[in-house]
Amino acid sequence: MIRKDRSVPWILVLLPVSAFILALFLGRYGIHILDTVRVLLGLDGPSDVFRALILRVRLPRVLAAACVGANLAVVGAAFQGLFRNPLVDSRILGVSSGAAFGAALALLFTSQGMIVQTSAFIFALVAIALVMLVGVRFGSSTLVLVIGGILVGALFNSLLGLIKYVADPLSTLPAITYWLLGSLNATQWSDLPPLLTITGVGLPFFALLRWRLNLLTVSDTEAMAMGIRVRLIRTVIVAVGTLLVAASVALAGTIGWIGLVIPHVARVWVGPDYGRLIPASAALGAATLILLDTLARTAMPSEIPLGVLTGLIGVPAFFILFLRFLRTRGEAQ
Amino acid sequence: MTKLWIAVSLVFLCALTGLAQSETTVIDQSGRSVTIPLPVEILVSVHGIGTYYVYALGAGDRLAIAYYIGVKTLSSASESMLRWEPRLAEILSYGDPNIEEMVASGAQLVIADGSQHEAVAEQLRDLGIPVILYRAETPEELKEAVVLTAAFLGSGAQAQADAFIADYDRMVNAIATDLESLAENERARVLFVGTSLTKVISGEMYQTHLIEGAGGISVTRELFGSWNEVNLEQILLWDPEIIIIPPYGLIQPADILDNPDWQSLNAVQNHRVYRMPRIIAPMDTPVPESLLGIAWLARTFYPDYVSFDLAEEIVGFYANYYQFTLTDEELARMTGQ
Amino acid sequence: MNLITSQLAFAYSPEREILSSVTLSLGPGDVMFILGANGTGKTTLVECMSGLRLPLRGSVTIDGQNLYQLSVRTRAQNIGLVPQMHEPVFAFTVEQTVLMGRAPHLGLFGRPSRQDHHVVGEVIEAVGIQHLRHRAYTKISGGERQLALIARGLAQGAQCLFMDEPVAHLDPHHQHDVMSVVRQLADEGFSFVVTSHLPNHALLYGDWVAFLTDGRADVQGTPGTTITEQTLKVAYDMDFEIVEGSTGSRAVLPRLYRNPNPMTW
Repeated sequence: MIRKDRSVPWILVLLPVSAFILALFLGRYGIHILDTVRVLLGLDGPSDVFRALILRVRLPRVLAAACVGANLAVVGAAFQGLFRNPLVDSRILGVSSGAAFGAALALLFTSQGMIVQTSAFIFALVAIALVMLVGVRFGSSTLVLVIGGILVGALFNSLLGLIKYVADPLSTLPAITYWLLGSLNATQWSDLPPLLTITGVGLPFFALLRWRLNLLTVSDTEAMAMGIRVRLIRTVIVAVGTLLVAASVALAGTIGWIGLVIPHVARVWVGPDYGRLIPASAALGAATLILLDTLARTAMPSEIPLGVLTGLIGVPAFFILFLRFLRTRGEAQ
Repeated sequence: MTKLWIAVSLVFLCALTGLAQSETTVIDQSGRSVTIPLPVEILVSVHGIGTYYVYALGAGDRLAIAYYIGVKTLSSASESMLRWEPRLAEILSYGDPNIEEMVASGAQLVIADGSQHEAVAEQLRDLGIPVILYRAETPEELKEAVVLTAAFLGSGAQAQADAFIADYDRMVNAIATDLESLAENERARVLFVGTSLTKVISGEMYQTHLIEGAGGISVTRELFGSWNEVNLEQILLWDPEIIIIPPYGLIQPADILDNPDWQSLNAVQNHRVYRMPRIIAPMDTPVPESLLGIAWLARTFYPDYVSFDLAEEIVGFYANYYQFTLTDEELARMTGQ
Repeated sequence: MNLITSQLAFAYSPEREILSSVTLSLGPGDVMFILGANGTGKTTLVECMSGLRLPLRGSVTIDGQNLYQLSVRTRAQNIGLVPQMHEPVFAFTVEQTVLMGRAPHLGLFGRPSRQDHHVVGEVIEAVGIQHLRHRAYTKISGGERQLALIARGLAQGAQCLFMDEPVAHLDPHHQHDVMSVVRQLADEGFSFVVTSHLPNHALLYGDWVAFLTDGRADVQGTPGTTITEQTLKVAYDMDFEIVEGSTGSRAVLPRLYRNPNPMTW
């Protein structure tokens, strides 16, 4: 089912933008709509507290949610094509496990957000470097990369277990546990430059490359016969994709399901052509995570971990998609 | 003549074994009935909180291995602690309880945490070592725990336990009396944060009882579970008058007072952000010191209303229950003066 | 386009030389069948001849130019590959599938233009599947899929298509559908190299046939002269007989020594 209507491109922009704006109006501290508008337009009137809340508390957080959501969804879509497997999440190559280990390691010594994020990012890159090494040694076929990812992920998970063991159960261990559940709480402007920079490079990269991604869904032999340098392009996509995931996970913790489910929903909407799938995934991913994060910070007095929400929504969503898949498979046969 | 000697020896032996066979049966805080052969000379505690019950009842010298809440290795023990317990290097331990070490120490009794040591307790019982499981999460349960501990530590301990309960009740009543005239809406609204600025206690945690015992109202009393993560908007919404930081973790009052996003809070504008001091055990956990915790909180909340002398209470407590004399510096730290 | 393979050799490991010296020549409009038992290196030969693998020795030239010195793009604009089976993971339409063949004409960040879509329309018509243009690739028959892949190869601009056992999984009707399109395209000037286990197809549709044995293609020629009971026995280690049909065409049958019907003996 391919929708060729002209309205699709408009929705792609409208969806995340409206989610963004809506999110700015919502929060535990009730601020009148007009006051919010005044703050955003830079007008006089609203108190300093309102101004601070909207510009320094809500705005950076919603922006982060948009970037993280878009990144995870786009990379998930790209990896699903790259690995020719619709069950792939953006975390398949052990990047998340590396980041989790890095964050936990930092949390042993400090609670300073910047250090924790940097450590998470660095170890995410270490994880992917290890996977690449495996690829270089054993040939970067998709199978080798996946196995490499599993092994590296398992390695970092074990190391994470070790850290959890020595962590102080009064303070450090809960901090680690919370980080692993994923959250965008207390996101400040100072947290954003790395994420924004990497997103600003990575997402346009995938946008430009989007049609070419179609060619990676065929076998390596066919792709090579069509003039594609498969190994090279695979390496580049893995590298850029990993950067996007690493930057996102370093800030937000381990959030699952976005990379897996959003591309599938996007496919139902615009079809499997990556020319449309990449923008659709980005838009849907951003909008979804903005909405989920808004829920996380407003539904209850205490924060609901973001990873919990994505799981609670992601699992039934995936189940519905799966039933749909079985039904269409049945029709074809 | 030999027959007489034999007879007397036999009687003597019987008497001895009779004495050695004296025992007591208690019900621990997991509801289990435990029979303990007395006297208990060698004791092991793998419960960082239960250790302090033992010290408070004057039996600290019987510990062969001990866990201390918040202290994992010698390097994280404060100078005060090292001075208080000279044997610390010898008996300090932490982590997953090591059964073999416990047996090797000759432990006649092990005290453990009811919320995590069920399996370990099972194994110890199989080896013939009685285990007492504690689960004290409210002041009432704290008192029960102290009484329970006294039951197997001997009659001297019983007296200490009674004294402690009396002191605790006295303090709570004194505070209640001092604050009688305060209306509900004049009570201090208190936010108790954790090891990060956005972590707060829930209504079910021990600290909430302490705050209420000190006459305050915890703004987070409707939350449940363990530490809760909240966002700044919610904190601004609560707008507490006083913010308390626990005696552990890395947060200092300056982290809040100097934070530009927290400026509009009542507590920050009135400079009422305090970190709980700590000499030995953390006062906000269900240890005997929590008696001082209530006192300290009450004095912090209502300096003009409380009638007791905090310094006196602190000195007296440590002398009576820990046989410990504070230095001037330590006392100053505790009283904040 | 003229494709000449000269003394091609390939080995996966020093001890195992799969191809020792293969010489073939293909001109415009030729349909060349490569026959040989399993494991004789037919697929390897196709991969070398289409530029996907570098040979140990020997050369492949197209219109006089060394195939291996051409850029990947240029090569793809001249030679296409139709795999035996293409199991797609995602439900691209026939049009989208064929459109992928335009890749060698687009840059790394390129996207198909109106012109590219026009070419796709043309090649889809050329293979006769215009009625399936917007159907999902996963929802068409095996034969129709092969036609779509041929169209994809044509969309690359390829003058020569390599097909590795293209009809192996198809029923006789669809086999004929595909091979008759191949024949028709050959008449329009395209050339094909087809590996196959079906000598009959070589007889029906081929212009040239080569038997690949012991790493060499020494036995080659027109189907009529090359496919004989002797060459078949050498290639497949089995007895065959050649029979003539009522329309004058010839067919290969395995020679069975067991009598299936006792009444007629």
